[in-house]
Amino acid sequence: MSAMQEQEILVDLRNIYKSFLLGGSLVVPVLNNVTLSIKAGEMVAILGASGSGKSTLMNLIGGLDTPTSGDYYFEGVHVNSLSSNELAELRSTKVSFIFQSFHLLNSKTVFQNVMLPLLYQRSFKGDMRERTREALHRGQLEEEQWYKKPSLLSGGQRQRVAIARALVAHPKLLLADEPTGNLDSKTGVNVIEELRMLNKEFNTTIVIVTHDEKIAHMVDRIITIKDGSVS
Amino acid sequence: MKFRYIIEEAIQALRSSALRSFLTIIGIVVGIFSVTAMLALGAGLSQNILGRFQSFTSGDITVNGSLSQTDLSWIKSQGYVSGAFGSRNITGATVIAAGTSFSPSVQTVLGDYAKVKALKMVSGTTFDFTDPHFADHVVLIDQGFVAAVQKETGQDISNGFVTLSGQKFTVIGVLEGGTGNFGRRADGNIIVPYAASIGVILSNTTFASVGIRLVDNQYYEIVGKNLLEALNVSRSAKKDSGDFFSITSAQDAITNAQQTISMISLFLGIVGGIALFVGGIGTMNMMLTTVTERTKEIGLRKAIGARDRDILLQILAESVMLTSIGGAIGIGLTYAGSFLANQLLAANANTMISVVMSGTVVVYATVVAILVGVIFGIYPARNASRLQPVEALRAD
Repeated sequence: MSAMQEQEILVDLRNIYKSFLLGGSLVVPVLNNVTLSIKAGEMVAILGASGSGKSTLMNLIGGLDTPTSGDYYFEGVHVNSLSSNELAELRSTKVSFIFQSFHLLNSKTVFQNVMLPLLYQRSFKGDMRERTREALHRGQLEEEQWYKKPSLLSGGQRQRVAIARALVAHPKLLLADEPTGNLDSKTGVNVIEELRMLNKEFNTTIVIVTHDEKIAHMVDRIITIKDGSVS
Repeated sequence: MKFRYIIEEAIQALRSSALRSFLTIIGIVVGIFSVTAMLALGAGLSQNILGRFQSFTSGDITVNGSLSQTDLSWIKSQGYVSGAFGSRNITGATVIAAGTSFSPSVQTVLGDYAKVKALKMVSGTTFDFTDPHFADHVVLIDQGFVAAVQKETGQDISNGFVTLSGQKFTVIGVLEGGTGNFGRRADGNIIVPYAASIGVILSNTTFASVGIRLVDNQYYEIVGKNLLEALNVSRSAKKDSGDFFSITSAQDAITNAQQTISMISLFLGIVGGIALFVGGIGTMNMMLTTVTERTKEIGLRKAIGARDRDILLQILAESVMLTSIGGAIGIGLTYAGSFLANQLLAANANTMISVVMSGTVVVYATVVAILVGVIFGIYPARNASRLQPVEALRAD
């Protein structure tokens, strides 16, 4: 593997195991010797049935959780050995999430929701409002929706807010966990097309976790996960 | 997260559960109000009681015992004495004013009475207390006696006369005081010239006590001891026996009173503190509920880059904001309350109670309010900051 190629690899998982303790003694293995890599600029789907461990895999990639054993490198940095503050920094600047249930804060307006990640970026310099407007435009939200509370929006609109929020930090990697799960199929397809466009236009690496084969076939590559192992 | 955003987030969070925040703030308002009101009451009590003490005691120190005019002259001649007067209460004299019998305290004095007692006249004139030969049948009365006569007979005695044991004495002046002084008779006070009382209503030429104002009150204990020794020696008493004379000092009485007042203040403070503690528990309860309700939100904030510290500070900021708002309202209420209370109490001149709000009380109360927010907010805040993002996001 040449140095050039190594540069291109964004996510590099090697022999990852993850198990949970249930009731203090029962060990439930979730991920079994997962080895995979994702190149910068790729749009990948992790396809698996519910309970296959795909959400756990996504949490690990996003630095929300740590593996029981194995090594995870993000841009060549050993993520396992990062402190909780360094993981927060990773989530703040390099990795963003889009959730199935959107996870928007209803006490805030759409605009405030999208701006929120910037407030936690300690290194952010520049105009937060300007950056937020840019993200809202990229997420294709009409300006008349910007100052509404998310609860007043439709499901498709809410997911676009979530996408805008994920884009505001200009992340290297965008992780979408069942982004179409709460949407009707037409809106769902629109959201994936939108992600595809972002991937093409801004070269953002996108990983979509889904159980929907139709969605999975709209991306560059499918990683299938079954009973905690990838193929 | 920058301080400004922490504050903004806290305001937004509190506004989104406005009713609950309001109820929690009430708890703190009551707590801070109790504490400040109690402190103010304690301060008022202290100011009043000490003030009264200073006005009714006979100077810095008082020598008690059978003292002659020679003794008085000798005491006055001491370098450390700035003024002294001898006095004797006239007991058993019948006092008749406006045809009615009264029982005021009747006193004869000689010496620097006006100076030592810092007398203030309300009306009329006074006689020369220092003249041992002034024997005119005149008296000074105080406001207490005027009020007593007024109440009983409806007459104003200020320019009239009183009959002491059958002898007519003309009232020449009215002194301030005598109303509501504790330890005094309700009928006020009358002062008779020394020479006028001897052989008329008083058969004894000695004084029962000599009140002394010192040049420097700091050394009252040493001065008192030296005076006592010298006077006892002059009566051929053994040194330090104290057979003939004793000394009391205003300072001792004041110190005693101060101790009592600090005990009362402490007790009042504890009562206020309990109310504040309850308010603090209310705050903690609200913050724990908030954290539970917003577990998902906290998970999300962590997912988008919040560090543990950011979450800790955010919850703590909400808690401190609640208690600070409560504290500010509480202090405001105490101000309004003390103003009202003093208006009502001032109408009754006999009261010893007033409420004194000082800058110190305000500073204490503010610091305490913020501390309550930190103390009762730290546990919920730590809980929140330690939530695992994955589990928090899964919460219902």
